[in-house]
Amino acid sequence: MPGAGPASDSPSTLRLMPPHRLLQSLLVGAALAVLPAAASAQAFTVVAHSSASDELNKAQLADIMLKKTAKFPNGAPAQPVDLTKTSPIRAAFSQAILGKAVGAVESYWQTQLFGGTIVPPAQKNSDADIIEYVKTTPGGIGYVAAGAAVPSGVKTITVK
Amino acid sequence: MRLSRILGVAFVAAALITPAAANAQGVADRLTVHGSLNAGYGKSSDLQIYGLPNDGTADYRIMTLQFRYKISDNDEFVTQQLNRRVGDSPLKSAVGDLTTQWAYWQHATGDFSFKVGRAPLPRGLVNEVRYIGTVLPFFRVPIEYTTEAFDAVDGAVANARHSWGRGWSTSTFGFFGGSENRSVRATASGLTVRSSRATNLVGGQAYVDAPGGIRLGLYADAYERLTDTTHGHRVHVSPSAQIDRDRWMVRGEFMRETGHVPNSDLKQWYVTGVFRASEKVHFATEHSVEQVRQFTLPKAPNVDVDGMRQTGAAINYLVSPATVVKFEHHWAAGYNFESLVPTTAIVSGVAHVLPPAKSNFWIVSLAVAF
Repeated sequence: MPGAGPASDSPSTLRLMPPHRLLQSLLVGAALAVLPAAASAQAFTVVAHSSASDELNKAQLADIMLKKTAKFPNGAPAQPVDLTKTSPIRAAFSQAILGKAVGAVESYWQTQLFGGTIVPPAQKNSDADIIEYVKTTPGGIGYVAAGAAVPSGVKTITVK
Repeated sequence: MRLSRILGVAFVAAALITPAAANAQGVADRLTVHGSLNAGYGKSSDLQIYGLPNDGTADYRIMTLQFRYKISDNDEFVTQQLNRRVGDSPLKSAVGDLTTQWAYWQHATGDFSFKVGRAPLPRGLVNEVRYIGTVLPFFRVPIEYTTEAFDAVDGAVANARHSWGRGWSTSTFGFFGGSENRSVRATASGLTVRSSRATNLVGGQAYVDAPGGIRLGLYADAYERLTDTTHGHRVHVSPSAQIDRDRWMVRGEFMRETGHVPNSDLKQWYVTGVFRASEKVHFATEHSVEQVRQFTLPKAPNVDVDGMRQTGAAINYLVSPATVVKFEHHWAAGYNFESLVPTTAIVSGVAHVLPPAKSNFWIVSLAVAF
């Protein structure tokens, strides 16, 4: 019987839900869907050599990190660098910017490498190694844990 | 162009570049080595197919070793050595223990690059990784589509990439050269490996990557086909499409070959689907077809015959992205088995297409890459 008993998640019950309750549920659901991405975006900071563009959108950053382009939008050459595949910061970056799990990105690099097309970016063990790489490599771009100290000579990139 | 000449051209090109940057880094910094292993055990149920006999074989393996030597920031020399064991396939007489799959010099400047030597042929979505088991859901690529041909081009390959923003990017290739090709044919006198050479091969491949994991491709080539006794001409056109999302992937490609001496009209296509049930367990299914036009039927119009029609299902267990265990089963029907299956019969002076034969096969395999 519609609306009766404990079967409160039945389709019939949903039809009887008052409009304000339905709207409330949709808003909570939407917030939950957005939260993980927002949390991931805060888990890392994108850093780059001083020659890099000041800001990038997600698609531009993804294209650079996947080497679909070798240049920043300002025309400067780009040399991406990754953390190792077990890094939780890399996991957050991969999901938030590349839209893929690290395993899927590793498969992508195997395809590129064994396809003879492009080689994966260098991998570094720590934030300090990433900072050192982007500071000393023209076009260097990578990511570190949010809150990591960024020295002068290394640019923090705004991701729109 | 023979391999010795190709290697010569690639080495000369590399040598011209090397002195400028020779002392900047040590060999250890310049040389990277990658490899892959794809090893399996398989057997067929009835007619032998793809080298898999009824009593099974573990002599089924593909290994690659890739060496990349960085000559300068923009130049590198790359060679990939290939070791294949093909079970009881007649191809084993033609496949050496170690063959040079690639040997090329590559120059890259920004989003433009070109290769000279024996380079991977950019053809469709999986041609360049046809031997790399960790990136394929089955032991091998759909052979009805790729055939045992055109995995490399002896000549030059140029590539230009461009990112258009908002998740759109393109990559276009142009190439010129030649290619050594093989095919296995069952004849009344036994199995034979037919070799041919594609010369004056010219063509291109374009890819468009779009948001949502969409990849589209279009390939075309034209070449002269040479055998010991014939000099013909062929044209290939092949569109490709792929959608790759978090949990699933669908990929399809179609190839049309037309030409003369001898006449040829071939249609090859496949569709592959992968469902990623979890990070570790993936399910895959595939359907592939090779359709051959029969030009030689007396007193009958030319007719298209399914030389092979194959359906496969596989389960992949990913120990890691670089180590994959697979079990796959295939159902095959057609005429291209490794024993003679007549395609046509003459009855009262009129040719008739005979029914296809059927055989199943399965493979359990391990794929590793580093």
